[in-house]
Amino acid sequence: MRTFQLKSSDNKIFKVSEEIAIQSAVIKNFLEDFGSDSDEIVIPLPNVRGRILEMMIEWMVKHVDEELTKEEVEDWENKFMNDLNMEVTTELVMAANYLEVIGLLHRTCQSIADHISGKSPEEIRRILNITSDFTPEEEAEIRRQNGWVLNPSTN
Amino acid sequence: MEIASAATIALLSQPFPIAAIVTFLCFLLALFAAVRLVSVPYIRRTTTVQLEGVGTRNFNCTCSLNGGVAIGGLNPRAEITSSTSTSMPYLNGHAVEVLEKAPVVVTERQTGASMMEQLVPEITTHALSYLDYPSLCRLSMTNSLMRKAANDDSAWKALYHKDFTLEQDTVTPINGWKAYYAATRTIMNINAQFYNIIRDRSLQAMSHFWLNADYVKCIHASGEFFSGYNAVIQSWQVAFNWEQGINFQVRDVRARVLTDMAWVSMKTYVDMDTGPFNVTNIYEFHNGRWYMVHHHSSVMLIVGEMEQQMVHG
Repeated sequence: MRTFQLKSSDNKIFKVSEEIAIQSAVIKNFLEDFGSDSDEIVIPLPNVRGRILEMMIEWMVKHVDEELTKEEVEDWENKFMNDLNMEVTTELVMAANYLEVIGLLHRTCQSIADHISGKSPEEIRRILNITSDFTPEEEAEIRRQNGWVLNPSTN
Repeated sequence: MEIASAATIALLSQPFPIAAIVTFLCFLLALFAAVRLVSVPYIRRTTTVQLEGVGTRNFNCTCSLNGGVAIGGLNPRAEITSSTSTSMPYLNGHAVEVLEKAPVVVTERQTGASMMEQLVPEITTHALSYLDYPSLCRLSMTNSLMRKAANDDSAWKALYHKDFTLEQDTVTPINGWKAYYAATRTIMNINAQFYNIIRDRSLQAMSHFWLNADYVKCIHASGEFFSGYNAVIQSWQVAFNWEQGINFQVRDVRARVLTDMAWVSMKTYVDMDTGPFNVTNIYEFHNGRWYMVHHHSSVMLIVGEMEQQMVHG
């Protein structure tokens, strides 16, 4: 089996086998078009920094491990995601989208949603590190627009 | 520029036919362009594909793209806008639209703004598709950018189809899908309340539930017909004296809501020998709240007919 070197934006090199690397559709297409038998191919990934690339590879390695059951992989995924803060999760989303690692993209997007789910607007602002920029008029409009959720009384 | 130089080396060392070289170069350029645009592949597959398509069809295009991309490669990210405009004439409308959004992502990245705000709209939409409606509403109350993302019309349409029904796909709600979702949710709650009143056998709640008007009508499953507020409420008084049919399930609830009128169809299954029933309820909006103005219940045709309905449902 061929191995390749993935190079991150901060010039960290990761050696990976073809089986692992082709979970990225972009790398897979790249290799198909390249058509070389060389083991020396370096694939530069200028949009992914080393720490994120390392995590992606960790993910991809787990997902080719045939000894793990579906449940074990799921448990691992959940633990993997729970250990990440929003910032790293978001970086992973962008990297997964960029390299087309579809499973990781879906899982990280879901993780972002999990961070927000069930939280109050104030809590969400804290989690996302954002501040309200609404004018008092907009604030009133927003209260009115979302009243059906905040005060779900019907009649 | 690493890719470009790598490409040159690869080209020099391997004598490909010209066509292959062009294709190969195009691929690398397309990949490189994709690389520079932060956004790209999965969600924006079209960008890459179109760049490739343009490149293989016309060699001049490749040169132009090369120039554009080279600018992007040498200069800071902010320059992407200008490189984009360089290659724009060669791209069709769709690709241009996609590319125009890229600089937004880039600038926000540099200011160290919130993580979510770095994401391209398509990914944000995808992430938000995992949220339920209360969370989506609360997110829309945090700031302008999140409000825009969380009020996205197609997101609410998708949520509507997920939570309520796949029907009404061709409907265009006048106030957008979020408002339509909210209106439907309200009607669904009110309709559920109707059945709670029957379960509780509360005549007082039922009198409050109906519009006090001479044109309201109620057709019970027995086939009896009542017209006018007083007659209708009296019919419920009689019905509540029956001991039977209190435990039932309501399924396949479908609501259609207009500004001040809504109708709901459903099937009810009762733990007894009679039934199940097809039911239609109609509501009108008066003085800030919904009132029932019509209720029609009839025995469902069983077996063959029901199977057919199941298939269609």
